[in-house]
Amino acid sequence: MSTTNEPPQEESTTFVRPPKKTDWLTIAIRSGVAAIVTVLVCVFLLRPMIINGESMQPTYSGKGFTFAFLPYFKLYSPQRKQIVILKHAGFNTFLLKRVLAFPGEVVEIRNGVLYVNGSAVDEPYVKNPCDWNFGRQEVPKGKIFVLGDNRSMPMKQHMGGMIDQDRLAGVPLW
Amino acid sequence: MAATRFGRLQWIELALVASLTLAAVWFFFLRTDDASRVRARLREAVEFAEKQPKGSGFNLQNVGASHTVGDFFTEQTDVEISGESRGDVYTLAAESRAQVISSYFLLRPLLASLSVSLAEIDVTFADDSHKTAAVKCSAMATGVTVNGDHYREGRLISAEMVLDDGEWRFRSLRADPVVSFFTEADGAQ
Repeated sequence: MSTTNEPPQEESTTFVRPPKKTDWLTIAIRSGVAAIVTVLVCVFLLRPMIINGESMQPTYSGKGFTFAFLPYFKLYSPQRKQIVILKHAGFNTFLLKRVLAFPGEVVEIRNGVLYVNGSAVDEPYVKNPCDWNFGRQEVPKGKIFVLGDNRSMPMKQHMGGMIDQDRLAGVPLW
Repeated sequence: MAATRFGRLQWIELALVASLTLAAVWFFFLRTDDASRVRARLREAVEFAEKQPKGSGFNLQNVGASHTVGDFFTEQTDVEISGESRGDVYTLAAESRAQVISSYFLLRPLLASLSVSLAEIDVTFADDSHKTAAVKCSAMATGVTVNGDHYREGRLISAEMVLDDGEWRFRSLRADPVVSFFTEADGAQ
């Protein structure tokens, strides 16, 4: 029979915390929630937009970036000379234009000058010379008349005119 | 054990994400009501109209497109696609399935490629029988002509579709520019 004469070991009083495990599932779920919230904000509140095109020069250069504030026209009505974002077609194409006339008003462009109900409209944002001519037309019910600021481009290449009022999508933040 | 590592909050979050995902999958892919059948038929018609550029591989749908385009229209139909392209106002009109097919053969060779995306599809049934549907949507057509000109045109589509021999077909189809200098009354200027 053997006996050991080893001194009794003292109990350690130091507590060691186990290493914290990375909870990947929690991270994934929270990333998913953050992604859903971001998508909802971008779809219903502030939609990022890449500006591409010359029709609003010089107010907007040919390339740029802005956010469209989407609920604006649920709260307010469009104002004359206000820059608005309009739904064009598909999911990804919108138009950036300026509202110039409302239903019942008669629009006309003579030698580059816009007339609404026979009165010339002061348009300080139109910087370039314009030689457009466009016969008198009444804006139909449910539509608005919009144009871009760049009137130096050929009228044939400028996308403007009457558009359904319900295609107003929002306003640019800047 | 997962139950001890996974708190109640995490379970709620997981259930929320899973529910939203399932709802989205059902809403966009699995619904089979009459309105979604009309939408599916509309998308099918667009897929047949699309044209892939040369060199992008063999496309079976394009091969079959010319033979089946007539199937999307009733025998007597009313098609009017008007618009402005770089200032040129044009109108394409057809009053029968045969005219639709001949217009299709006439116009299709002018395009090297055509891609169409639909949005804002709204389907309204005329009555409870769900055999006649009014369809409104917007469409963006992009592509290249055989001359190499790139085009990108938006149109507002309004159509009447009817259930004819078990298939949804166009009884009328209009495509108008989204924004135009001309009102409807002056559209032919």
